[in-house]
Amino acid sequence: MKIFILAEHKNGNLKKATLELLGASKGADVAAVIFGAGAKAAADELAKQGVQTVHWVKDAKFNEYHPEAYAKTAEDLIKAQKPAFVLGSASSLGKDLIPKLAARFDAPVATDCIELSLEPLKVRKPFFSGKAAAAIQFESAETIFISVRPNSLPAGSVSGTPGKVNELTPSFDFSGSPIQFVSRTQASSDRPDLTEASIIVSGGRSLKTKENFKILFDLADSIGAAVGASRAAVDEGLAGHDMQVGQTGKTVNPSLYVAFGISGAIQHLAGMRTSKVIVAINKDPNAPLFQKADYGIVGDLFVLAPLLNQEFKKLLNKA
Amino acid sequence: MAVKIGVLIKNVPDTNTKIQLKGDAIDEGDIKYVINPYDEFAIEEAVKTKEAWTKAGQTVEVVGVCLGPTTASKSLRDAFAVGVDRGVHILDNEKKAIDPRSVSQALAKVCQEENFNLIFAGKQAVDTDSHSVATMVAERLKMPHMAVISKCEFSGTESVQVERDIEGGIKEVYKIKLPALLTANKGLNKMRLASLPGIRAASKKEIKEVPLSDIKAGYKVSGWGLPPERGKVKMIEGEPPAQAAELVKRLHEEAKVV
Ligand SMILES: Cc1cc2nc3c(=O)[nH]c(=O)nc-3n(C[C@H](O)[C@H](O)[C@H](O)COP(=O)(O)OP(=O)(O)OC[C@H]3O[C@@H](n4cnc5c(N)ncnc54)[C@H](O)[C@@H]3O)c2cc1C
Repeated sequence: MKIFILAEHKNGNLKKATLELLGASKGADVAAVIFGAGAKAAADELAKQGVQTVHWVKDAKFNEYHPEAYAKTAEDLIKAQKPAFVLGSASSLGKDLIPKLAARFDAPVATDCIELSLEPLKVRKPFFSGKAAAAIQFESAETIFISVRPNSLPAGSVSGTPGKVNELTPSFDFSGSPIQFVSRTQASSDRPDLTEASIIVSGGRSLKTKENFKILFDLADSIGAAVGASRAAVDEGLAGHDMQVGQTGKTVNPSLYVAFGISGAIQHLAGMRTSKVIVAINKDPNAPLFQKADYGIVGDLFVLAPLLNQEFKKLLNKA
Repeated sequence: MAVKIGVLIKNVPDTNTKIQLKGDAIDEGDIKYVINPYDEFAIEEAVKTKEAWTKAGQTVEVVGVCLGPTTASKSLRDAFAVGVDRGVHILDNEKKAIDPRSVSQALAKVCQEENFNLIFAGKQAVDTDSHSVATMVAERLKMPHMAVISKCEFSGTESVQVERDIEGGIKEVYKIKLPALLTANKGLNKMRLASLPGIRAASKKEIKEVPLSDIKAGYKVSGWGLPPERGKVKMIEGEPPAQAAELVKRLHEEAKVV
């Protein structure tokens, strides 16, 4: 079976979410594309993990996302390979490019899937912000497009036989395109992205000021976590929009989600209910989030967050 | 010549809705439907853009396009009350169009006929959560698109500069020539409240009903499930320092997540 993977890197390192796609493609004949001059190490890693042909688009003009340039490059590769499946992550890139390509091929597409096995084909996708999930039965087609929610599948490799890296120079007329990249507001930070983090600490309205969020950032940095927030915290200006978890914010899927002073509204749950372990810390013993959590502490977050930071540091220094 | 702005509007379950199953299907009984929250941002941006362009001397019309059963027209009426001028409702009472491939086909056909200069949509609908349909409509129309935007500034009716939100709180800035399709993220704006004259005018605005065109489905749902219930919460008692130590110990030894 042939598979085409839309691979991704962050600051040159292959993303774990991409390794999760490789794991799902075990034993198949896999090609992948990866974009950007800085992606050499990630391209080599893909080849090492058994991707037979890694198309590395080295041209620096492809460093920044351009929907048309990326779509045209992937389209040509897919046409040449004729894979049964095109896989991507439900990341900023995959969320944009997978459906776009599916429309270009007028093919079936299912996005943000939380279960995927290819032989026999089994796919589940959440609906209603995770309040339900459905088994997906595709119409038969030459190629099917699927994106997978990060942290849903175990990371893996395709095979023990290393593949080759093919440096690719697509011709795309950037200056003639109706879309022009202008700039980006900041470089990627070293903190993990919320959507891919394996640990998240998150704060609500109860943090009261923007400065107070520092106790959560300190804790997060001790354990390599990302920091999230409730909508109430975002709307009151305590945290940036990009930190919002929930219905109208990010959907996250970590192994551990620690909520500090978050009541547990249904719209917040919408964004974090698939977390493997949920910890609720709240001074109100009747806070609804305790009903959905695995562990709970009734107490003051301003006391508990620094204490937890100390305890985590102790544990990690021991290890 | 008049400028036409399209807005894709979906009627979805209120986010407070509890989802339950009835046999093999979603129990529709108690579901209350509202405008998809992200489509509210799209509607507001369309109306704001119309206001700005009208001030600059253009004749502008904002057209809502909705696919769904008869009852979904309520979303169009609600959009009329805040300034959308008319609507096209693709009727689908049998729920034939349920996946991104088919829905994008049907919407693209109407958009093609309307020949919009600019289309707004929400970044995703909160029922199907596919984050696909609008992008696919743009692709089918061969129209450039930019998704997940939280800011847009037009230079006349020629081009627009947008900020797109990506992972890690990063914003990418792009400049796009119109016609184009833009999908809205939270942060773009907040939909205005309907005024009384707005609500009165809404009932007189035109909704054109069109049948669902021939569509090709991409998938069907072969079974529903609800998320597994978690075990009972384990409350950690004691004084704060002991609670903190106990929690970290449990997360390490019992849950094995740190
Ligand atoms: C369409 C729609 C979309 C929405 N989207 C989202 C979304 O994406 N994300 C989201 O989060 N919400 C969303 N909401 C809002 C949601 O309904 C809640 O209002 C919000 O999640 C509440 O945030 P909160 O828990 O921080 O605040 P509150 O509900 O005010 O809760 C504060 C909690 O902090 C506790 N507390 C206070 N002080 C302390 C202390 N010192 N120590 C410990 N605990 C303390 C309190 O006991 C309380 O439980 C949405 C709502 C709607 C209608």
